[in-house]
Amino acid sequence: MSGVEAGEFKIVFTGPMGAGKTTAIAAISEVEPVRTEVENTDRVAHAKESTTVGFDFGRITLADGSVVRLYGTPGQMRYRFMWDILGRGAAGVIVLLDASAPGALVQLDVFVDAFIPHVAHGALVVGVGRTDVPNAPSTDAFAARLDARGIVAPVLSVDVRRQGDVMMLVRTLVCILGSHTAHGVPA
Amino acid sequence: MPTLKICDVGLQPDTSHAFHSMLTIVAGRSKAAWQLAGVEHADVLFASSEGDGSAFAAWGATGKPVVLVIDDRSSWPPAPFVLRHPFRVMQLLSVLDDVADLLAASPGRERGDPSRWSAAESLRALMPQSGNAAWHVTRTPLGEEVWLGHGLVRAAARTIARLRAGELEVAAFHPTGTSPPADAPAIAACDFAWYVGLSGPARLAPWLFADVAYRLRRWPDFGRLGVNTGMLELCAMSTVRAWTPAALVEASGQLAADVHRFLAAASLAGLLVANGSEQAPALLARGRVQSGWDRFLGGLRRHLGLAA
Repeated sequence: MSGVEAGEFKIVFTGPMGAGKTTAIAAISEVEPVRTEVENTDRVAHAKESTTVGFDFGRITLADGSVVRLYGTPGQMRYRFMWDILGRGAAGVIVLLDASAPGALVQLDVFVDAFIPHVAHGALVVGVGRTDVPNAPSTDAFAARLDARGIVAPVLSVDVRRQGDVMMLVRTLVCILGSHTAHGVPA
Repeated sequence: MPTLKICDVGLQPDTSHAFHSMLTIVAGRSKAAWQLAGVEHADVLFASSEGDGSAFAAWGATGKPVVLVIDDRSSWPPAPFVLRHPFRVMQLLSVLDDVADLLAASPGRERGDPSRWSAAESLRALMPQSGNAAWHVTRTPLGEEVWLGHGLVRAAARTIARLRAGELEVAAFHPTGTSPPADAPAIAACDFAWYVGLSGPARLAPWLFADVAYRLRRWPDFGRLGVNTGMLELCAMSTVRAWTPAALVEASGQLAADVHRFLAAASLAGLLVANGSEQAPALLARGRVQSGWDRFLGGLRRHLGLAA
């Protein structure tokens, strides 16, 4: 059963700690996002002061009253069990990465592996921040990583603090969903 | 009487001044009304023959008729429109009328067309080796140099800005033994190729085939390149399956020119692959009853400012 038939249309923002998931949801949610942040005790992984441990939640209401739910996953591996819970029934997934973080390319693999099983229409979009930091891998490097796995998904450089960039990610996701619906090979 | 735009390029100041003066003298006597214009908007170029020939080759590659100006010591070059300086009014008038006749005989021609294809064709040849250390160079009609090599394109910041705005014409790249200034701004060669494709002519690029289906093997980075809704739609559709150009035009509902430019851009940037000659099957969405999913997507698309 699709999410819509179940009365739910869900877009999941995922990625490692510090990639900007909470910021991205806040940029486009019509309501103040619900956050489950606590003090970050893993300052080795990221220096930020707080981190998501449950999930972030935001919402977009459409003209006909239907609702798009925006979920942000926790980024740390120790909360991986939440990924499956949040990914289930997702219409699409947006993976956010920080190119300047150590092992950013490996993190792409981790989150794609975790969420690909949940996206029936291949509706996966990758947003990569801080590609302008010296020695950070370019979006082409991330795209090549997907190429090697036979995955054709958009990899877009973004600054999730900019609402326009987050909207670009969501628009891209919706275009993919629409194309699969209208032009996809029937199951 | 048609109005034609002309631009002098590379002339010495005194020659340029004489040309401008003569244009006012021939006004009303020529088959066309001649207006001075910037090089990119000009229908005709009025160019100096001085130099090593590469500049004139660049003007010629724009596809615009070029009136070649030679001095009185030069031998007559094998060019269709030649004028010797110092000018005589009747000679200038004769050459301008010849050019006007040429343009009148080909009203449907896309001015600037060959230049864009020639630049694109040279890019196609060079892109697989664009990471090499050897530099290639081309010029805009304004004389700005654009360098290709090391996987990058280097040019002045204002040149790159015009490229991003789709306002840049360049001629074919050619090898050079020199290097660009070390501090010249750079963009990725594949990004440059994307812009060249997008600013190309409206018709299908000569290296693409009408009966071949194409699909996207990789998305462009719209975060870097800038995006419009139409491009997003075309990329999404071309990810789902391969389309012949005509099928993509029909299914997307977009202008053929936009689809052709998208295909040219994607292929030049190395993002497009041919997928045999299969025709895209009939659209599944046509005529079917809207499901809840369709309605929902339609609502979401409207909310996001996409066509429903």
